[in-house]
Amino acid sequence: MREMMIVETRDAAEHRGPARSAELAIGMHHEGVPATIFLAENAVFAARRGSESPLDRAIAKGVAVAADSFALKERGIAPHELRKGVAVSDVGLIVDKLVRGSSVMWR
Amino acid sequence: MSKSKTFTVVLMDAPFESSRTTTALRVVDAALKRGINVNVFAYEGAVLLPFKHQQPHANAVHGHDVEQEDHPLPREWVAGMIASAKDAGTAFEWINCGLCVDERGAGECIDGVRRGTPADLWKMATASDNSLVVATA
Repeated sequence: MREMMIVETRDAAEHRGPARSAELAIGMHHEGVPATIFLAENAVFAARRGSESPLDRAIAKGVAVAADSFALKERGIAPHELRKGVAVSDVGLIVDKLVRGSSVMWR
Repeated sequence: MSKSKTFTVVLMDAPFESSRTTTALRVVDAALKRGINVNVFAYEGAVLLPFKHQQPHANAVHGHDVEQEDHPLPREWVAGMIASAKDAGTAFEWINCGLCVDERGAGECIDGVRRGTPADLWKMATASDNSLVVATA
């Protein structure tokens, strides 16, 4: 596997899944597979500063994290409200990863 | 056919139930707009995404009539992608799982959608550069 992307759609405050996704991404990164977490839908809530988030550890370990601008706009979250290390992107990033042959997992 | 990439996308969620339908179709649309050929295999409730009898409705809570409400219909999104792919010369195939269609009485689909089996999914995925499974949450 060249690269991995996890498309996380669930709110970390409501599900335990996003924390597991973050751990998986950290593990893959540790094993030498560059990993990206793409936050879509309610998963973008975890990208806000000032909230507890499983993303902090992933970012600190080198996992790339991006949030869907469409989902941020829908939920009234401005880019300046995002925690450090979260990039604003869009679904084109998923297409980019698929073109590059990445394994993309939708959660 | 051009030498562009080909993706296969598997959808499972029924229309009007989950945001992931919108997100997944945004990914398909973004791929088509880049000239990437896309195959969609719809399983389970997703076979109703291109169901041709979907109708918009008014919204009494908001005081909107049908026109003002402008309720989005997935069949129109699918039809739009079929049309734009055709105009761009990009291959876009949508196959509905036949068993799932029969279970739901969802045989009447918009033009451009065909019925298939998991064998079609296997063939499409095997021939694709990459695949994406958007499973039900």
